Amino acid sequence: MPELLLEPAFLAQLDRLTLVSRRLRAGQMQAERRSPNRGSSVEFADFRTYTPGDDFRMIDWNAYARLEKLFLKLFVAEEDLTIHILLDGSQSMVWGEPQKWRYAQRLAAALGYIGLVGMDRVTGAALGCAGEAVNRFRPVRGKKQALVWFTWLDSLHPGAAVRPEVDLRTYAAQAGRPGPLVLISDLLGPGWERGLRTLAGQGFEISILHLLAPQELDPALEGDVRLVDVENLDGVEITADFDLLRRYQERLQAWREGWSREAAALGAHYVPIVTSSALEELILAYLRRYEVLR
Amino acid sequence: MAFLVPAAFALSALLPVILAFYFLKLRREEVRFSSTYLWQELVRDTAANAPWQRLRLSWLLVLQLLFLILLILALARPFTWTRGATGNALILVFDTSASMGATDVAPDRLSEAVRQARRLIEALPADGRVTVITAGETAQVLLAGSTDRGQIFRALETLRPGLAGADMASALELATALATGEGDVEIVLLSDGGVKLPERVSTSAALRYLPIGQSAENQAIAALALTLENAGQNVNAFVRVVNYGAANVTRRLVLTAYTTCLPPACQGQIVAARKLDLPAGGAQSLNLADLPPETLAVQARLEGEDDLALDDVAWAVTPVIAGAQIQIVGPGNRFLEAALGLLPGVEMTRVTLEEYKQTWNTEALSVTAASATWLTIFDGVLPEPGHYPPGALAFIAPVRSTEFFSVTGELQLPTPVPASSAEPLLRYVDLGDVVIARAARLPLPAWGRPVIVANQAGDGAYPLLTVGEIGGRRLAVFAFDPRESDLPLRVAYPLLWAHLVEYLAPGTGSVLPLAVPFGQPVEIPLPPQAQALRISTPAGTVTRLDVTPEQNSVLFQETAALGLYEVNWEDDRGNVYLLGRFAITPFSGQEAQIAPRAELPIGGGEGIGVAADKAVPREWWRPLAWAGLLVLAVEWLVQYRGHLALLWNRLQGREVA
Repeated sequence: MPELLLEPAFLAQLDRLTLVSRRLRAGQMQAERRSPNRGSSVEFADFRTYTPGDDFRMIDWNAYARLEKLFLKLFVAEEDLTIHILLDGSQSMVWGEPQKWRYAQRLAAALGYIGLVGMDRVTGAALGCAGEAVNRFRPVRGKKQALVWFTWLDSLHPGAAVRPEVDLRTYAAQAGRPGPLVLISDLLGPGWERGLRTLAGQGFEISILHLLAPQELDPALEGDVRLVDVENLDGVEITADFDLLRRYQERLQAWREGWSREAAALGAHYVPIVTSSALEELILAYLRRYEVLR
Repeated sequence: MAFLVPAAFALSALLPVILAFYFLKLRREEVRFSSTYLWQELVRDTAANAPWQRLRLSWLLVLQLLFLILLILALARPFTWTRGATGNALILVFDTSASMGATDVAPDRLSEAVRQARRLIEALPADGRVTVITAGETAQVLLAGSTDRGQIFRALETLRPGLAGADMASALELATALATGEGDVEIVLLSDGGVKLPERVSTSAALRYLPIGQSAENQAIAALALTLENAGQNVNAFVRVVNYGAANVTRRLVLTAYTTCLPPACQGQIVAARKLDLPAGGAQSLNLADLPPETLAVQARLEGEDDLALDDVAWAVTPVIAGAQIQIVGPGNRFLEAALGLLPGVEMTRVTLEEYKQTWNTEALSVTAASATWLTIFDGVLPEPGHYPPGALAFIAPVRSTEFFSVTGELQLPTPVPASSAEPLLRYVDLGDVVIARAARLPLPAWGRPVIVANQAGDGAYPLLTVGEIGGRRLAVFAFDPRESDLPLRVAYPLLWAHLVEYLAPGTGSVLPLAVPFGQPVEIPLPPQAQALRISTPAGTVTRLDVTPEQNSVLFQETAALGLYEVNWEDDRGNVYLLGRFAITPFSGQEAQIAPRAELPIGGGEGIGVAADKAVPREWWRPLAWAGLLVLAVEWLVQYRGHLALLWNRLQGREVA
């Protein structure tokens, strides 16, 4: 029996959380999020002069009695929001202990579930998974669709080549309404910056969840070795002495700080994550501190 | 410089091999990693697939090449020609006599001998064996056939000049015995020549003498003695100072007298100081009269400097009148006093019975004087019962019974015969034809052993002379008065008393010497009442020796310190009596003549001298090997410096950033 992505007890804790959207967005269906559109909620929004064709049921007759002019009484609309969850399915994700891909799957499952419970539309895509270059998940809504979301995540087979810039551009072009977008990736390799800039340009509110394995932070290497890249099988010969490992860690730190600055420039959240940290703690405490969740 | 094993340079072929390792890329272990994206910037200068890489200057490469070069050089065994010993094995005989402490060569002659020995040892081949023999008071093998240079040099460091002469004859005997069976061996004598030499030395080994020392400048106190005159009222000192040097010198002689106790407990007082003009090879003798009458001992010291300070000081003690104390109680006995007066170390006093009783009644006798009395002879008289002094007792012709024996009657004209033919007391004592007028009939007491018995028909074998021991004291009883016999007219009489006194008061006859040669044991005679001896040494320590009544004397061997000793004895009541004093003085005429001899006459007048050093190869592989080891250690540190830094950080409890 395959391992459950998320434990039922953990799912119950997720019911209370909501994905944060910093902007009001028009939705497709009536839901629980405030919309820039005027709708039928009980919250008054504005008055507007009547023009032929308007729904006369919305006319404020009390105003007409006092002013003899027809005004429409407008209320705040509460609509749904489309949440985009993108997974990096490159071969480098299938590495580390605990494995980055499995961690990414569980993280995506939790975030999608939070969206579905909040009556938002959840869509997503896996980059580099078997089949097409961008394996898309069509938008679903409602808590009942959680199983569909979990099943899709479970069915993904990572390992194909990822071209971040092209794949993210393709997604931006094909995604319908922009909304909050969560990218779960180790960001190893070039092209991610340009792809994310395209998405930000399209109006996506991006959160970058940067996954790294503990072995990438503190490699247990010693002596003369040939490092083989699991994606392209390129080799790099190193002498893993104290000096080189120190320089590697300095380089890694600088790289993560560079991503933090890039995210700030895009108006995105950047959350560095180590797969050795507990997922429950990450969701319930860490992501709330980074204001990805509320 | 030449090389013993030039073939070792063939190993130079390894140098390009090491270089090749740095040209060739390593075949590395492959490790799969998530991405090499971050690593590529760190190792941009590493070519990807070429089998060769450009040679980069590396400390490791330099150190490894240096190590190999040092190793090849060491294996090639480079050497230079030097002057040294002729053999493959060396037997070093060090003279450690007192004269080797002379400072004419700095710091002293023995240190110079060690320095020359080191030079010889360093010139030996690497596997050359070294034996070290010291010729001090006794000959001793410090090290035999060692090839361990460290061990040899450590042994040489322990050498110190002694205070006595050198037994070079025994040392040479040892050396020749050790040389037997060795192949190419050389015996080297390191000495100043002032040694006792054997008549002849027969050895197949090369024998060489390395004279140590340069000058002969030494003055010594050759004699120092104290004499008593006017019955001990005047104390005179006799001092003789000899200049063994080749130059006229002036020295100042200072005489310090100790009047209350000996150093270091007491400070002496200077009683005389004389300037002495000593011609080269000459001597001066001084008689210093009128020293304080209470002088116990003196120290003579030569002020100023010469090359041997050891013999610039000497000690002497005043003779102590402390022989074996023998007391005769009786009206007077010329024969007896004459016989006892012949005994050496005996001090005899005579009192009448009345005087004895008077002294006894004042109780002065029992405490002091009598305690020091070794033997009391009651000549024809007897004290009150129980009024006997401590110490041995002898009775002559007792007139009645005492608690020791019974008198039951009288024997007329008894014929004396030895009780046993093996009787030690009658050794050389001829009793033949001795006529005795009469004797007391004295049955043999339970404690007694008959020495002379009366061979008289009908009267049984009554003893005429009985000896024995009762209650820890020795007794002798003459049943007859020798004056009523012709025994005192015979030679046997003083002989018999000599044997008797030796038996009754063992220790008489031997006298504590006034001066003892350094290192010699001292025989200390024991009074019969002595329970313990207390000997104070020049260092201020007091040695207590318990003695048994059977002991006649004690051999005291702790005479290694020069200076003044005092010997006291304790009786069973804890009273302490002075036995005597003696001095240990270093002077030895042979050691005082410090002029080094150029040749040693050994082997029937045939001298051995300074053989010319032959040219021998001196090898240099050791320093090279050490340097190689050092380079290897540095190479290891360079190789693992990262690990060591990491380890250090962890030990410091710091996490690596």
